[in-house]
Amino acid sequence: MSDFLRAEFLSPLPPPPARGKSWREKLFGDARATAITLGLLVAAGLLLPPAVRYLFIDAVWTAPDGALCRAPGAGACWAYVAAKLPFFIYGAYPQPWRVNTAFLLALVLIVWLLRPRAKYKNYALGGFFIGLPVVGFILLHGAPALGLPVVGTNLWGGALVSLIMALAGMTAALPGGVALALGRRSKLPALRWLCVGTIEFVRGAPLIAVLFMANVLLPLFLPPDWAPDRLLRPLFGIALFASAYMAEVVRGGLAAVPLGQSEAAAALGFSRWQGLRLIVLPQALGAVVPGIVNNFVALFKDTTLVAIVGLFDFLHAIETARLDPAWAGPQIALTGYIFAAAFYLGFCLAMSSYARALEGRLAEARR
Amino acid sequence: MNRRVALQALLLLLVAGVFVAAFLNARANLEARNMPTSFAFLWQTAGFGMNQSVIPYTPLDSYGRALLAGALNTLIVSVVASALATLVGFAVGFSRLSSHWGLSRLAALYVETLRNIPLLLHLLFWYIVLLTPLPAPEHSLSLGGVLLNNRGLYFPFPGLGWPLFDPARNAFNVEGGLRLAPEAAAMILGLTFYTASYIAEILRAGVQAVPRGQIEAASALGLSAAQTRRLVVLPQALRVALPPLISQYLALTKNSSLAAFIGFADLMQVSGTILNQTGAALQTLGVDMALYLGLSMLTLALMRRFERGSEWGAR
Repeated sequence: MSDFLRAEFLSPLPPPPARGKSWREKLFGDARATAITLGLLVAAGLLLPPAVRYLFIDAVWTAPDGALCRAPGAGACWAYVAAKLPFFIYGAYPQPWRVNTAFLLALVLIVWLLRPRAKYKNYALGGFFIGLPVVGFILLHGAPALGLPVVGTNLWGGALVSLIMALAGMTAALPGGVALALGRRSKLPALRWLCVGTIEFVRGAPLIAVLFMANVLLPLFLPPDWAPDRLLRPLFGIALFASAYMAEVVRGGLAAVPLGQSEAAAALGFSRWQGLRLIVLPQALGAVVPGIVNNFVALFKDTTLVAIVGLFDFLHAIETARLDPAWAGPQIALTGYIFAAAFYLGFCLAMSSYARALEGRLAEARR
Repeated sequence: MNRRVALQALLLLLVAGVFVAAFLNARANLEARNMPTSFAFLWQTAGFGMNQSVIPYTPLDSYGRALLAGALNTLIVSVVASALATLVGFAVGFSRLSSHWGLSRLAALYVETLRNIPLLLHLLFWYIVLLTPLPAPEHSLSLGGVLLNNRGLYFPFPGLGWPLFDPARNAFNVEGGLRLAPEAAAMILGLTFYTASYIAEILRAGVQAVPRGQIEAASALGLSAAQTRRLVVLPQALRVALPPLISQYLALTKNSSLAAFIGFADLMQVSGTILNQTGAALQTLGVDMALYLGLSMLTLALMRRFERGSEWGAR
């Protein structure tokens, strides 16, 4: 019996390896890792210096016209971006201060709304959904009674149009999406099928087809003297498109709220509408914040497509500016694209990083 | 109960009213603008050319044939780009999951950058990058019977013969061979690299959805890391990833309508031209919608069948 018992203690085992590996182990731990690291370093060595040379060292920073940028060996043509920047931002809009004021107002309201612990958010909400559209319309379109001459939408362009499309699309998509999603869950078959039909019809179509329809068919279906403005038609198309996609996101959120929540609300004496507004919707929308923001990011990128119906959005303004004979050249066109990429990348990354922060905060609050 | 019926009847009446009003307006507007109201225009001569077509097409052919050629172009570009995007997306997705820090960061950079840039910009970029350095037909680059110039890439093809540049017959074009237009190549490249960034994330989500116990069990059974990946992780990951993957293919197909911006003759671009030439807006957009919606519904129906099948098989 005693044969099976250990007479003395074993020496303790070494501690398990620490969680994080060291840098050297991560990059040169074994033969495979070393090979990958070396391959990446070689690729970086081959690609980075020409990129830096193109973007900075060989770049043309100031020039009266495109001649310097067309010279062989010239890199990016930042002089072109500097010369055309007003056109990229305002299009042919004659009074930039009006656009700047509208931008500033929108920025203040958005920052106010997005700050986690800002006060009086109800006012900001009202300002964003009601005040901003009204003031923005008066400022940008003009009101002769207030001394602001009317500026036709044919002069609007650049980032102005892109941001109007994106903001109006987002403002319409959230309520529109919630309405469609609720309609889809309705107990009334007629309403349900109407909403399902709208959502699936719009989601099955490419945005370009929706824009074509809004541009060509909308004036056909309305009495001749009602024909909406050329900026309003694509706006309607974008709002419809964004609402249909938003409806699917909201539907996911609604499905994630346990049935007990609305039952508890009913037991506490909430009306159906109160229960929906105060109990179910906040939880449903909170659960799908990443989806909502992904939709907004997609919407912002999709605003580039309004060029198909002849609007001068930011990207189309860049495309048009490079046809100016004074600034024509392959490097100049490429510079325009790089600038546009930076513009869209900046906006989209800002949106998604805010969403990630918000998601973290919501998850913490739920715990 | 009666209230519900009344509400729905009111709703239906309202919708019917909107439709009737739209129909009456459309009829008056169409008449006032002298726009065609039947599909007879489909048999008229189109009169415009196409830079790429898989069926024989000349400007003397009908609008109907132009639409068919456009639809086939959409289909081919979508299928080719879907296949390539899957390859690139899986490569990026696996790199993202790699235990190598540099490789995984590089893949993350790819995903975060490329999918935050509008697809239109991708297409314009590839178009200018492909087209700028290419020579005119008379200075075509040639390699073993394959010719490359700014009109496209020419392959020999049975029935069409070898591509040949003959300045005596046509100073601007290559005769014979199968041609890939630069517009088509730009479409395929742009759609591939843009969609790959989404597919990479779908694959990553799929792999991460496989429970850790599965991998531990596989290694306890003595499977190597490569075997585990191929036989245990990937089959389960793909089952999770398949539905979003298919909606990504559908999105790609719909995104191929951006071809109009770089002048590739896909369904939407051809429709836009026809719409401008004939004014038959309702009919043309109706055909487009029927084709796009039909494709979506067919794919979704197939997917549902597959899902039911795999559910049954999993039991």
